[in-house]
Amino acid sequence: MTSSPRRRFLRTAGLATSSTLFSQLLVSRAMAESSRLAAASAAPSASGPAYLASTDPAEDPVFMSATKLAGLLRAKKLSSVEAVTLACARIDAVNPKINAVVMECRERAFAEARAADAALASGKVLGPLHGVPMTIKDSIDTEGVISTGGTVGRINYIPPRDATAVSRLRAAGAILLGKTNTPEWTLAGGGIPGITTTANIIYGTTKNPYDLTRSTAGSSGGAGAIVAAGGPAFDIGTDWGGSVRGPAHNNGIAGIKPTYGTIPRTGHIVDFGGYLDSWQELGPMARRVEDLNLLMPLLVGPDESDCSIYPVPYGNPATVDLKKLRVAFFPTNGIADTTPETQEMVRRCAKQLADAGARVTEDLPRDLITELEEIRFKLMAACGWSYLKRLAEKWGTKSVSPTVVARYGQGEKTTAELIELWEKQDANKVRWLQWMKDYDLILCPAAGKPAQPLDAGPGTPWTPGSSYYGMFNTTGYPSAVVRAGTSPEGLPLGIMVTGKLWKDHVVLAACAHLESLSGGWQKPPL
Amino acid sequence: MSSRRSFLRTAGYATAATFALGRLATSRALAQSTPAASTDILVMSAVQLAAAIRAKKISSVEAVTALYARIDAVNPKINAVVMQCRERALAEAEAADGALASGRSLGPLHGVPFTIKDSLETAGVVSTTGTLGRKNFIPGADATVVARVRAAGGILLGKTNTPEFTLGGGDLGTYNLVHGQTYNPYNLAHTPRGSSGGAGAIVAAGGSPFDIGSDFGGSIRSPAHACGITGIKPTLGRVSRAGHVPGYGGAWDVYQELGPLARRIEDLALVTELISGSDDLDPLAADVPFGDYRAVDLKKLRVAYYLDNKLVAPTPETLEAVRASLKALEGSVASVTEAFHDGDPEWYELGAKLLRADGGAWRQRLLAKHGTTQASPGFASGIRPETISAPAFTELVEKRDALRSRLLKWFQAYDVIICPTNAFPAPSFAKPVPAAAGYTSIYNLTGWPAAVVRAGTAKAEGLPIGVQIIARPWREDVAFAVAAKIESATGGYVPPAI
Repeated sequence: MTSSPRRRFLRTAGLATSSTLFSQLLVSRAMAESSRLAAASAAPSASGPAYLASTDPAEDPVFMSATKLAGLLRAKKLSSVEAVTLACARIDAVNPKINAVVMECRERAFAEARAADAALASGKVLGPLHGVPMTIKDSIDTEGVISTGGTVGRINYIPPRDATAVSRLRAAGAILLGKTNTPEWTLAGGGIPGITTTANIIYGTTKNPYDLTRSTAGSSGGAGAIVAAGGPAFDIGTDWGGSVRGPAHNNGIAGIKPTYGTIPRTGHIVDFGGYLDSWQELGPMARRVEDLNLLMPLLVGPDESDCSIYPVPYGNPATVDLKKLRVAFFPTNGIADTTPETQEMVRRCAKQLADAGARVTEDLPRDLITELEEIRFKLMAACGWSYLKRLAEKWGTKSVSPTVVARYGQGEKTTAELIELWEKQDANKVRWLQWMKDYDLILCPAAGKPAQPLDAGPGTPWTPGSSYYGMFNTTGYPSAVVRAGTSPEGLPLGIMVTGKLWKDHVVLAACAHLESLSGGWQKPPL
Repeated sequence: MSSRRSFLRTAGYATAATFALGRLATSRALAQSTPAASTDILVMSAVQLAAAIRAKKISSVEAVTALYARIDAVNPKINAVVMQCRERALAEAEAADGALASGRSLGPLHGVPFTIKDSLETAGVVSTTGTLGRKNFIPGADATVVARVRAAGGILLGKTNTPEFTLGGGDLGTYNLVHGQTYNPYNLAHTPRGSSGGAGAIVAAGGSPFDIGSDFGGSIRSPAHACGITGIKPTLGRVSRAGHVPGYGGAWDVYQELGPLARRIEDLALVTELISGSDDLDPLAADVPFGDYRAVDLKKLRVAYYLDNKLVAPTPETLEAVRASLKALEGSVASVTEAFHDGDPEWYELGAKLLRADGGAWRQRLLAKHGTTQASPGFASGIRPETISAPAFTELVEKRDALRSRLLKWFQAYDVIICPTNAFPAPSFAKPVPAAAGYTSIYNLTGWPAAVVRAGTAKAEGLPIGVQIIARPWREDVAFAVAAKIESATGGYVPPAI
């Protein structure tokens, strides 16, 4: 799919600025391999105890964790202009192949980078993300930068203000490079018949950086692909049924769907409200778990508009004692077709936590999962998907994704049946809470298989239990994915780590441990 | 009433009578005003009573005995306490006194008696929630809030009346087919409002220092107002609803919260914090820090007030009570502004449409679940064959949530709202008030903490008037601080002449 001239213009706006900096870039690159960076890496905590220390071994800024990059920037080992230049150059190199970044704002990014460098020169640190480049999923509003949410009615929509999450990150010093691809409203499941990945009518299909013939998963597929490929330090996705965790798995990075009620959805194309409100969360996606630890405290807490957000204090992952954790694991849910390598990875991760002193038990709550999934599938369709119709009306979209149109009216029930399903969903949540009393964590596959081919035909129908993700949207539990293995095809495999409500930091502490043993993210051959 | 029931209600009475000590003589002489530190068991706050028990000035057995004697004196007139557990209460009181004698404290409510709304399950004590199907139902476990109060040393005296499923009161306030009608202790020709009407009536009448009610549309606040006591509906998610009937979850989940009713604000602060927090049973109950109301700086508070919710205009005496409250705050807060969010008219229409959307199928499920074949008229009136489609229903839910979001934005400019609790004092049985007379249900929609304290009197009827104090989400401490200021200026609770 080709983009319009105007769109191309917008997408490359500021490129001139970037090319004038290209020579500097080469200098920086050369210097990156010099002792300057090596010295900085050797002293990651030089910036002071107020900042998280990095354990990231990466030495190239475009593959570095945000935590490490922020440390380098604060220590003036690298300027923000250099960091942005390098990130943009990486996007220019990989994006023609993967189509992950669909809108850019380079001029503004460079202006902000210069301002960040100037501020630092006069001793002012804007925040823990001072000068760090990021991208943001296109379903999340960014002030002054086109945010389509994959729907044609918003093809030229420029939001007047940032989403709450974006404004918090920018206030912490992060610099927006551009927007990453998503299916229509994040809910169109590919949007194009036969494609179960991140694609939409406006920007086309996003490709997996580990194998361009494979899916990125969705809906934060653009985010997953570009973060894996390098460039931005991190992205923010949304997760209603696996949309952060699926792309984290397929693209071999780390991502968390926090506890329901943690990060305001204000400024997301599907924001607070409606009968499925409790399924939706925003969450950070990054190459390294340490960045999720860095980003979560910056993102949490109520705003003026999202009524579901609780001011629960965010826990400190450094205080988590793995030896005290009770872990349930299941290598397969017995429903989804799950590869032997995936199951083996789950067992290995369980053993690694046991070796760390955790009490580990194989325990599959099969009845709970089956009940939850059957309710979930009926409930999401119980109003005949009328919420998708209302989204189309709200944004003036006439050309709605074919996958969405195909759903209209399907599965509609009476209001009495819908309300009863709602009650059953919430009763099932109570049963889960009771089951979880015995555990702090659940280890299971993120998905049964690694990234699947894009041209796999219409694909297998989406059925209860075929995905591992949705159960933790319904329960609202914090659920993260980190790469912990490799498939026989050489594709990333993610482990899913899920915890108790409001114990996101415990989940991430376990993820960090598993990442330290598996190596986590690996550079794709791009 | 069955003979078994009357047996249960008076079980242990003989035991109690043997404990009727000299102290009762003093406690019967009810104070006309409320001294700051009353020595009267029937008037003092739970905080004062707990301190007196800790200091061994009053034994728990004495307190339990005095309160049962008071219940015996007033309950035939008001029918507030509908089930008692005297033997167990006295045994627990003896144990509490024994523990204290050997230097052990069970908690901040050591030996303090309390009652519980009958919609909350109490282990070993019949809990009907006003529905015939549960007429003889004895729960195996305490509701989370009951378990927490008992773990803190509280002693359950009995259960207080509620309409069927807390929702079937209608014009009668608190009435059901199991236990009948509850009356207002200030004027027996008037209702105590509902649905925690039994709780409001007995706490006001001095038969229990505090009770725990539930509030789906005003069910804690309206009885607190009508019976001249204090009450709070805490923030949605502050208190677990586990063990309440009807249960939590489903389309109306966000409206329902549990909270204490007591004579004094200091008791609300103590009990609300005690019962707060997660419990592995209610997914919405979370551990959010709870502030100390005594540490709130009133000088920083921006107060909004309104006198009319544009549905039903309040009586002149109700407005006087609001003005008296504002006067109490004058000079102590940052600002006082007349401002109304305009939420009530939209919510009144939307909320009713939502509750009727399935033709009352959810009400029928409740009846079926609890084996009730004959519903009270107030509950059955919500079952009618008008329904709307699921697409229309889910669109209404989105509209409801858009209103919640709009109201949250509105509240950014203020810290506190002061307004009437109801447009009228407790209505008489002869002359019901309009259903929209409550100024309460908008704050079930928003989930914000909303407290009530007495700030005036309807002179002709001799009825109390309570003012409503709303704070931003999770700031119960702010609501209590403002309510305590109003309480100290206006006097708050005044014992009824009953």
